[in-house]
Amino acid sequence: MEEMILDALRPDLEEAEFDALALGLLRAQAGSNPVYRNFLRAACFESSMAGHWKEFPALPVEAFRSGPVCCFDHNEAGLVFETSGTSGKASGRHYLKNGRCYEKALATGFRSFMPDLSGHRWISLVPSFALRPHSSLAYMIRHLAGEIPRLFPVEFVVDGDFVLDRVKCRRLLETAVERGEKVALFGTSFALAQASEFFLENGLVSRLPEGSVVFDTGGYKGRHRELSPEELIGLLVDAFGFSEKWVWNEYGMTELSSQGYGKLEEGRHRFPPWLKVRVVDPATGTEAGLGQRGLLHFYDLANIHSVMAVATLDTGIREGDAIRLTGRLTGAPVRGCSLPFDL
Amino acid sequence: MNTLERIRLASAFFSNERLGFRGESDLLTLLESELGSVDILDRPVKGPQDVWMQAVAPSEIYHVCASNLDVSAEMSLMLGMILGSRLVFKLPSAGLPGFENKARESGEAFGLSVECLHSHDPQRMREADAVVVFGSDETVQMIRLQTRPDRRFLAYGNKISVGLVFPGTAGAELAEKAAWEVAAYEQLGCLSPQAYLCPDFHEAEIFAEQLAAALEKREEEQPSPSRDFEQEALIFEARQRALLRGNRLWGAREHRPWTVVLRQDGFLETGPGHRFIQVIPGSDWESILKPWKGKLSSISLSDIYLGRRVLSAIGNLGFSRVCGVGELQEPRLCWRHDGRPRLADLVTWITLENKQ
Repeated sequence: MEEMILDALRPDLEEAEFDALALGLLRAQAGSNPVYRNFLRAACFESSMAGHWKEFPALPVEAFRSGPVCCFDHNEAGLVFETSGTSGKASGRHYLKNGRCYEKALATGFRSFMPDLSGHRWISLVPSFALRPHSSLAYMIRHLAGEIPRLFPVEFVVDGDFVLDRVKCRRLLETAVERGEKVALFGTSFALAQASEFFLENGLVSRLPEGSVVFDTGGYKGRHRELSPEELIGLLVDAFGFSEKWVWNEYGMTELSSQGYGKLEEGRHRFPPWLKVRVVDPATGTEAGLGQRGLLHFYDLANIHSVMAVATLDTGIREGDAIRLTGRLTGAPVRGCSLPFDL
Repeated sequence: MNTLERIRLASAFFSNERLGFRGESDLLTLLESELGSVDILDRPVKGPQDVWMQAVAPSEIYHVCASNLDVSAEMSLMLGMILGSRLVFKLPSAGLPGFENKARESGEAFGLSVECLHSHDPQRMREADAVVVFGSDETVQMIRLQTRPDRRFLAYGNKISVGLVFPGTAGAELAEKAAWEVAAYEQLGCLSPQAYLCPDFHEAEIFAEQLAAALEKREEEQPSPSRDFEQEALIFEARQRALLRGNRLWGAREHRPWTVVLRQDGFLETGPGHRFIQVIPGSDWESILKPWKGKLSSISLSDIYLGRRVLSAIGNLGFSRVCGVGELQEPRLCWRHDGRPRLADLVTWITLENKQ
C-alpha cells in the first residue's frame, strides 16, 4: 500500500485513482488504527459497507491530543511531530512510521504550487530542525532545503524559541539588497510580523530585489496580536519592499502530511490532488453547497500510517478548486448566565 | 413615587411567571426579608439598639448584560425600578430587542431614567454607584478591573446546573420534565441542565433513551428555533468529541435538533447548549461534580424527599438551589442568585443614633 500511495503523490493524480486508494486506505485504517476504529464504532459506522471515501467520518483533530493515533506501535515511529499546545490545551502528537510519504507530499506540493526558488537566498524565521526536533515546520524547511536545488544555503535567523537574531537577519538582508539577490523569507505569521516591526521601528527598512518571496506558514500562537492578512502584507511591504503578489501562505497542520498553498492577498488555498477537502455543513453532516460556509474535513492520502480523514475546527468556503478560510471555531463556552460579553 | 407605589407598579408591569413571583405580596416579602421593612428606602425605621436605620439605593446602577439571555437583564430592570435607581444597561452588540422596548416602557412608567448602551462606556461605569455584570469569568475580571474599588460590584459569572436521578425513579414522566427544562431558553443559561447524573448504570441507559424520546416529543410541541452556523458547528463538534470518547449518542446520526449523550467515560463537560444533554452514570456522583465546585448553580432532583439525605453533600459542592426535575428554569424570586441577596447587596445604610 505504501508504494502505491507514494506513487499517487503526484500532480497528475486522477480522481478515480484517488477514490480507489482513499477507499482502500480508509478501510484499512478502520481496522488497524484503534482510535479511528473505536470512533467509527461509536458512530455506528460500518466501514465494509462504505462504497466511497466521502462516507467515512473524519476523526476529530482533538484525538491527536489524547494519545497515539496510528496504525503501528507508536514506539516504532520514525518521526514524531508535536503541536505547539497553545490556547491552554495539551499538545498533540502526530506519529509517522517514516518520513517517506510526508516528504514526497511536501516536496511535490511545494514544487507544484510555489514559484521556482532555487535562485533565491533562503532565510528562515523558523528554527532549525536541530533546535526543534519535533516541529513539523522545522522539518519542512530542512526537507525542502534538501530537495530544492539552491544557489545558497538556508540561513536560520531565529533560535529555538523563535527569538530573532537581529544582527544576522539585518546583515543577510543588506547583503541581498547590495548584491541584488532575491530572498525567500520563511516564517510563521507572528515571526514575520515581529521581524517586520523590528525593522520598521528601527528604521532599517530595506528594498529587497523584485521577485523576493515570503512563505508565511501561518499562526500567531498568542505571541503577537492576530493581524489580518492585509495588515501582515502591509508590514512586509513596508519593512522589506516585498510585492504583495509574492507573499505566499501555506495551510498546514501537524496532524496532516500534506499542505495547501495560496497567495495571502487572495485568501484562498489550493491543495494537491491527493488531499481532498470536504466542506461540511454542520447541520446535516453533508457537503456544504458552493459559497456556503462549512467545517473543513481533510482526506490526506499521505497520512498513510495515522489517519487519512481528519476533522478540523477550521471553517471555510469552497470557491472553485480552492478553499477560502473563514476562521476557526473557538470551542464551546462554559455555561453561565452569559455567553462572552463583547465590548 | 415611594417604594410601595413602585412595588405595586412592578407587580403589574413585569411578568410574574418569568421572574418567579406571584404578585405584589411576593415583592413585598422580598423587600421585607432582605431589607427588614417596606418603608426603609423612604424613611428611617427603628432598628436594634434603639437606633434608626435607612437603606439608601444606588443613585445609578450600570449593568453589563449577557448576550444569550434577556431574562437576567429583565430581573435587573425590575429590581432597579423597585429601588428607584437610574439604570444603565450595556447591551450585547447583537442587542436584546425585546428587552430594549421593555426598558424604555418601564422608564416611562416609573418615571425613572433607563438607558441602553450598545457600546461599553467605562467612564460612565466608573461614575455609577453600583455595577452588575452578567458574563463569562473573563468578562467579569475585565469589568472588575475597570470598576472603582469603592463601588459596589456584583458579578454573575460562569455557572452550570445539573440534575440527579435517584435509583428507581427514572421514567417517561420524569424524562418529559427533564426535556422541558433542557429545552427552556435553548439551554443557554446558568439554570439550564448540562447533565443528569444517574447513580445506577443500567437506569442511566434507560433514562437516556427516555430522555431522547422526550426531547423528540418536545420538538413537536416546542420546535427548536433556527440556529446559526456557529451554533450548529459547536453542536457538531461536541457530538464528534463525544463519539471520540466512545460515548453513545442519540439524535446525532439522524441530525435531530437535540442530542443525548450517555457519558460512559464518567466525565461532566459543558455542552454547546441547544438541547445537548448528557446522562452520566456513576454511583459516586459527588466525585463527578467535585471538579466543578464553585461553578455549580442549581440541581434538580428526581425525588425531593430522597434528596433530603444528600442535602449536605449538595451544599458542600456549592449549589445555591435545589428543586425538582422540571423546575430548574423557574426559580422563585426569593432564591439568592449565586447565594447572594438580590437587593441587600445593592443598598448602603445610614444609622441614626441618639443617646438622649
